[in-house]
This record gives sequence, C-alpha cells and structure tokens, in this order.
Amino acid sequence: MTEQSPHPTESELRYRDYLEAVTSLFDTLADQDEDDDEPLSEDELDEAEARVRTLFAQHRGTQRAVVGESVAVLTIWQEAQAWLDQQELESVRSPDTIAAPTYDATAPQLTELGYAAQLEIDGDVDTTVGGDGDTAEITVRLTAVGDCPARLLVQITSSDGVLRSAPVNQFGRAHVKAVPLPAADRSLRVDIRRLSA
Amino acid sequence: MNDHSGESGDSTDGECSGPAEYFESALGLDLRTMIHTIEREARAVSSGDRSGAVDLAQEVWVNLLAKLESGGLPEQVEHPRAWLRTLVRNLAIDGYRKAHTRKRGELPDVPFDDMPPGWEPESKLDGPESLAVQADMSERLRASIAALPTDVRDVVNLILEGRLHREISEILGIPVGTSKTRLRTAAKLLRDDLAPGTH
Repeated sequence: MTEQSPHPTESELRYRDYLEAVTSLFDTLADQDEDDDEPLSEDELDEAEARVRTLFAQHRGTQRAVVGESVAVLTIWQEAQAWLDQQELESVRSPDTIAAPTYDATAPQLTELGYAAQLEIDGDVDTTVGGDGDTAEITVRLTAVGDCPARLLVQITSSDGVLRSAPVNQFGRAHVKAVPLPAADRSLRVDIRRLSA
Repeated sequence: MNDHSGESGDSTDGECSGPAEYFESALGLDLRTMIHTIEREARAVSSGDRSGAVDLAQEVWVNLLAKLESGGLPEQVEHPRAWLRTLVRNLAIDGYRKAHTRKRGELPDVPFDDMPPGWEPESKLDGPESLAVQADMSERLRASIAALPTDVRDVVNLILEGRLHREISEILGIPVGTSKTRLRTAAKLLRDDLAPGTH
C-alpha cells in the first residue's frame, strides 16, 4: 500500500482509474439478479452468431496463406489481337480504356470448393501504357454456392512470362491489375489456385 | 429453445473449419453456448446498455481471435464458461478504465504547440509500455485484495475467476444474497483503501 499524496502521480491516477473500474464492475455484479436475467431468444442468438461468423470470415481473410494446388487453368484471349483490332465491334470505349467482352468459362473443380462451376472473366485494357503492348485489369468473378467457399488465388501469366495475382475476395471477385498484353501475343494463362492457411 | 447449459462438442452442420472449430475443441463448448455465455455476461456487466453489450461481446471475440493468432488458448481451461465470463469482465474493466481516463483528460507530456499539424496524442494504454503499467496495476490490486477480510476476499477471487453468485453460493456454502453483500463490501473497502488519509 502506498501513502496517499495530495498531488498524485500519473501512475497513481491510472491506478485509481483502474480500481474505480474494478469496483464499478463489482457493484454492477452485486446488483445483478442472475435468476431474473432473461435468456437470449433464438433470434438474438442467431443475430449474435451472424456477427461472430462475420468476424471469423474477416479473420480468415487476414490470415497468412500458402498457395496450394491449382484448381483450374484457362487460356484466354487468344483472339485478343483480332478483337483489339476491331474494338468498336463489341467493346465499350472510354478515352483510354477498352472494356473487353465478358469471357465465360467453366471449371467443374470449383464445385468441390464451394463455388459454381461457371465463372466470368472481364478485362479493362489500358491503351495508354505505350511501348510494346497494353496492360489490362482482369476481373475474375466466381459465384459462391456453399457456406464456406475455399480461399482462392487467381494468378495470371502473360505471354512474356509476367505473373500477376490477386485473392478471390468474400464477394467471389479477384481483381488482377497491370497484366501486360504484349502486342506479339496477347493470350493470358489464368490459373486459379487454392490457398491454405 | 436450445439448451445452452451443456458443455458438448457438437458442431452445427456446414460450419467452416477454422476459428469456430478451434474454439469448440479448445473449450469443449459448442459455438452457440460460447456465444450465449459471452452475450449474457456482456449484458450483465453493461447494465442494460444493449448496444454497449453488443460491442463488448464483439470485443471479446476479437480478443479470442487475437489469442488464437498468438499461439492459442491456455492449454487447459478447467471451467470454460467461467473463463469466458472472466474475459468479458476483464474487457469491461478495461472499458470502464479507459472511459475514466478519458474523462480525466489525460494529456501528453509534450506541449501541443510543438507537435506537427494533424498530430494526435498516442494512446498510452496500449503497447508494451502499457503492458508493464497493466502488470503493475494488477499487482497492486492483488495486494489490495489480499488485505481484504477472508470471507470477502474469497467472493472477490471467485468473481475474478468468472463465477456467478449462484456458483459462489454453492462453492462457499453461503446464500446468494451474502455473496452479493460481500462483493459490495469489497468494492467499498477497496475504494476506502485509496481514500486520502487512510494510510
């Protein structure tokens, strides 16, 4: 026990705050009538569980992960050269980017991981980069069909061997940025891999 | 109404593997029972403030996840529901304490004028330094509790272990009302202990 000073130190003030907190809790618990406490209703419990599961899902998203086995490999945009040459046919033009037509694909292996087999791939091609080709932002869209879809990573490799990747988020989207599209060969390899903690 | 009193290891179908399964396994309680225990205790210590209780319960789960990240729960938790209540109570104490400190208007040691634009005082209550401060405060509290009369001290220690009054009543063989009275007495004695001129 320390002697009380008329000018308490910061440490003393903190201890007083702490003790006041502890004794406030004691008072609250002493006034509590446990037998009269209403149990939580099922609806309240459901709401609480939803909050907890959301927190768990967010936690999963922040965990470090190891890139695991490949789930699906697709090669897209073999036809990109011709398509880019005829941009006005199906694309929507903006001053500097071109939205590529949606590429629909099927990967049956995804069904075992909590997703629908069908997936969509979109690309926004940036034509302002200059040099020997363009770059694109590729969006892969999956549809979660299970309660616990697996964590996935999308890796995209350009024809000149540049690798870009992005995780599939809780909405089933992966946005892979700055994917090179060399003029000589604009095809891309899309590799969807499983992530494990 | 589900039974949330039992300590079973059953899981709900379709649960994700991960934190839920880990906690169920580590504590021997199903997730709903854990949620029920935490929510009820959060309500109990929040004195009718439902929104505050929700925040507190959420903070408990964040704390549990942090424990999981830093190596997991203690190897064996003997009384899992009491252990969860202790978590709730400790975080409630922390919340009260921070509120008191804010009310007191804790200021930085350096004059505000010397700080760059946009600077805000850093919390002194988090981080390694505050852990040492916390350890010191806990030590002082333990010493103060040790000085309480035995019958009062026993109730306080059981409360700090997360016990309910009806459990304390069974453990100590005293009426529930006596357990509450002794807890009030403890609060008063501990406050008196700090009153100026008592030492």
